[in-house]
Amino acid sequence: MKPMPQAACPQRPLPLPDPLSEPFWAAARRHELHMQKCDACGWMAYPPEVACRNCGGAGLGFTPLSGRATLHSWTVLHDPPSPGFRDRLPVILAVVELEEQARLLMSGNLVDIAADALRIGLPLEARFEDVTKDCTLVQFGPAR
Amino acid sequence: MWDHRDEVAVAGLGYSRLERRSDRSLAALTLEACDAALADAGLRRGDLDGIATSPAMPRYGGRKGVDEGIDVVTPWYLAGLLGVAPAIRWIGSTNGMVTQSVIDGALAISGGLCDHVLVYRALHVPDGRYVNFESAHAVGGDQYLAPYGFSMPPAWAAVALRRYFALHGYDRADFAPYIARNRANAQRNPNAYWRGKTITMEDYLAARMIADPISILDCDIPVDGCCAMILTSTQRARHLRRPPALLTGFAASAHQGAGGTPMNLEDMWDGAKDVARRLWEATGLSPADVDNAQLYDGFSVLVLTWLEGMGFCRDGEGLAFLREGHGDPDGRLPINTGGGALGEGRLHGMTQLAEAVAQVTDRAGERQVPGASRALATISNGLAKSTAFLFSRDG
Repeated sequence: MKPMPQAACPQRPLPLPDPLSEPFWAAARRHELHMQKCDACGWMAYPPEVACRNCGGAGLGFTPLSGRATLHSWTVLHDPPSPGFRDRLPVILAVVELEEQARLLMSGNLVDIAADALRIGLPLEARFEDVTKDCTLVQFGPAR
Repeated sequence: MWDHRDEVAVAGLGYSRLERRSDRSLAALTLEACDAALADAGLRRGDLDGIATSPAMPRYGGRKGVDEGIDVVTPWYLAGLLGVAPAIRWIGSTNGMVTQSVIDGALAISGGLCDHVLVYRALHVPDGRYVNFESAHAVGGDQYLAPYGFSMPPAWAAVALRRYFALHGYDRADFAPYIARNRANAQRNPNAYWRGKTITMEDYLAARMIADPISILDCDIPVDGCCAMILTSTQRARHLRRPPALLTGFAASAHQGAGGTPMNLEDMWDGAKDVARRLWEATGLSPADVDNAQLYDGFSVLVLTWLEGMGFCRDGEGLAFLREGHGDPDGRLPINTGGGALGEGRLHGMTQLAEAVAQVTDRAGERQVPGASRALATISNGLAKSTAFLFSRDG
């Protein structure tokens, strides 16, 4: 009996869009960063929610953002957090604060920068990583 | 102030052995802890008429075990195992942390629903890694985290600790004295998983990184085991075997914080301050009244945010306070006198509650803070599901 073919390194977990998140992921596929914004109070939210967590309003649309952000904090993993990260180590996990609103935070990976060059407040901008034809992840890299 | 201040008390405490990969089932460990708590109070199983817990298995990414008696022990199942199901008049089961069950149980007693409430927390270490996102798809809240590898709590705590260090000019060397002395506290705690294993500051600085700057020694260790306590009215407790630990007040918070990451430093501070304000309102007390503080330490960084959030130090000064030894057993404010969860094992807040109770009833043995009359326990990370309790000595 022939040996089984070696399984390729599994993919990272991919987001499964739902009705709330689909506009965010659809924008990412177009290489745009969109965030939910409350019609009543203007509060921007990430992740998207069914009601505004600032005022309780239910009128929530999506609005484009500049993608400009600063580095809020980060960590570096040397062990894979899931099997799909085995060939991506070390992985830099970052929390960024978007320019448009204080404490509007997003998690992502940092690209095009070494861990020893990082500092809190570092100017960043959104980068779009096309993972499959249906999935683009929002990442961040140094502001150009 | 709370209308029922000091009217409900903890009358008994019990632990099972805390083990890794125990060959006993979680149900057997739970019975051991519950019988120990009843014996401590001088009560029998038949005296119980209320029972409560949060039964969920906290596992991230992988399959959450749901098998009764193996992965979880629900109060309905436990009532049957104890042979007391017909006598149970009130059952509490919460999705929040077990400390919410302590609040529920106290209210059940002060509301006259029942006389003796058993609150317990049973935790099981699943096979394989505790945090490993195995699914090919990330759904719900995970879709914003797991595709980036942000699926494990140590990484969430790591970004908070790094920011704390960076904003206030500290590094891990500043934390090392506290971490080593906290482990020394565990040597005087007979329940502690880490009893018998001291660590040095050098051990801490050389510890394996889980998510830099969170090392293995910044995380509590998952254990198989259970801690249980018996709540009753202060009036009844005064006729039982042990002196009662009076529940002077408690506070809970629904502070949500920013989205985008499960823990961020500023919201952990804000949430802790929210809990603090409510606790001081409920008790009519202030930080100056507290003789020892049992601060939740599922991750080391939480000791800092609670220490500051509760008002013992200004923001950013907590780590210097610990480094200088002010949280030591003979310091200005003894902290985590039994070694906390970092020294005892992961019991999701029962460690802090049990130690606070022990301290105000002179049951803490060689780690007793002499004459401690008021003990604080804080639980979780300051965000939603966080709670705080103030226990007082009777008389």
